[in-house]
Amino acid sequence: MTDNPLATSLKRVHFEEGLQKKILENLSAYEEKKSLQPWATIVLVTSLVTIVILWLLEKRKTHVD
Amino acid sequence: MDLTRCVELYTDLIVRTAFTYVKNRADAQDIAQEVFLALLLHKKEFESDEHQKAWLLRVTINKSKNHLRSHWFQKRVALNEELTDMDGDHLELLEAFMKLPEKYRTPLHLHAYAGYSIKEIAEILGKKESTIGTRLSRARERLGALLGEDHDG
Repeated sequence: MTDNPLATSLKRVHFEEGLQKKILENLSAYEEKKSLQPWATIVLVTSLVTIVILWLLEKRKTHVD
Repeated sequence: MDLTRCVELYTDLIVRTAFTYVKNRADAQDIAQEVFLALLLHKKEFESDEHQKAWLLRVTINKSKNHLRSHWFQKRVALNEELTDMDGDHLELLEAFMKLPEKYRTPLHLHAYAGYSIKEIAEILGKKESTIGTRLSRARERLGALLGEDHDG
């Protein structure tokens, strides 16, 4: 990096301590969440299908009665 | 280069580049986070580390510009309130630098802070080398004038 007064002034602007660590943690959390998404979708769809089947069976039973 | 190494190497450059646009530390840090998320989602291979670094800078600049255009970017604290921990001379220089129009500020930041050549800045910003050369020269003139005005006044 060029050493000149402007660069020195810009370098003196302080940012949050541990910013790199925080960014890496957030990226890691994002990847983890992303990898869980397909499973969440499967569970949700299976649950919905089960509810619909149970509702249809119940409806049919009521109709027969 | 893997993501962790990129974050270690380029966070400082990215957050300071964003800061020269948005003039707010918290926003600059948020933009840095968004830039690395964009890198995580980027599927194509980079030709070299320099290519990757230039890509990161372009994304930083675009995200900073988008941030400035966003509806919720309205009234912000003044720069001197934002930089209360800086002493007189540095604050004065930084305030004068921040007063420069964006077309002069960005090449000067990339040249003075990041150490890029005129040719490299032209590639990053998608401009002609002659344009960047002129802008750098005018940026220095204006900066000098702003600092001179401040000293005179």
